[in-house]
Amino acid sequence: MVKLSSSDGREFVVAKEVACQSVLIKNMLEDLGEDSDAPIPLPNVSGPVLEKVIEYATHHKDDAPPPPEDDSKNITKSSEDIEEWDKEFINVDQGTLFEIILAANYLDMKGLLDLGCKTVANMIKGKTVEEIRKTFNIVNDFTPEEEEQIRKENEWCEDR
Amino acid sequence: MSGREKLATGKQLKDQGNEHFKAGRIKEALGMYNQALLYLNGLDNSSMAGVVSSGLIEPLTADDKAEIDATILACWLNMAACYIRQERYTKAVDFCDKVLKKDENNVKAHFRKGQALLKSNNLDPAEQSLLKAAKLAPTDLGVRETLEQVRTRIRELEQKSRDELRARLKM
Repeated sequence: MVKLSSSDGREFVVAKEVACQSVLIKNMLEDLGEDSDAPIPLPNVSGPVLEKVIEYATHHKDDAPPPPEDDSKNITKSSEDIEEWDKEFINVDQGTLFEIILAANYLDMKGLLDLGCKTVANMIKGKTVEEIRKTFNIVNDFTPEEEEQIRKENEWCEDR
Repeated sequence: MSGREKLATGKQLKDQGNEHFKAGRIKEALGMYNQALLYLNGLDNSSMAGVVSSGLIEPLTADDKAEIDATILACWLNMAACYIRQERYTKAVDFCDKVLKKDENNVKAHFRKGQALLKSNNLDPAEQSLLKAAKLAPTDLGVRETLEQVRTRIRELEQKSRDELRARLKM
């Protein structure tokens, strides 16, 4: 078992194969060997987010490790391609979603990072500029002239 | 803990790692470098700004960002040195590659990668890495000596296979 401690000082005890879903932690455990039972500090993840991350890692602990980066470049990734369990798992409020993405990036968990980014992509897909602004609370700071200019430059990629 | 405090803690842990390394306590040094990364990794989230809303990303000054990057690279490089001492050459090469991905002209990374490849008997790639290091630091004696070692080994092996072939032909 491995002890993890979140930024707010909460301690989580998880199985080694769960913790090793994070490349950052896996590397540390490989270097320290079995003889260390001091909690691993994770100062860049809060307790509630770490709880979600552990839920994901526990569900996926028996997955095959992701292919090395260079091999995966050629695989086209579709944002539609999300497992049912993952879809349910990532069905959270926007703030939590973003925090999960940052945590996955910090802990180096490729599968979870992909899932988070695909989910954000799906939130953008098929929406007009105004709808996207509303979804993500983005204030329009363009002048009408600037906006017209950008619309013209991007006309080629509009879906119609 | 603020970002600044985490950076300071990360740097302290890295320095403690260096002390252990100098005293030959390799495993302890690795422990410190790994801990340092737990604080430093994820501090600079600017690369994620395209995906998550900017409110979650702590703004950093250019100086802080440079210091975070430099400290992370130093940890990776020193970890590579530790892995070489532990004869874990594949890991040493991996960590040099991590550094080179961020800074392709890092002399130490090319040098340590060359050393690890030499020790794991990958002579041709070792020569390549050491040549890159030598080009970037033409006056570095350590690089030149190691490059010479690799070339001697390559010549010895070529001589050996020629001798074997000759012996076989004589039979």
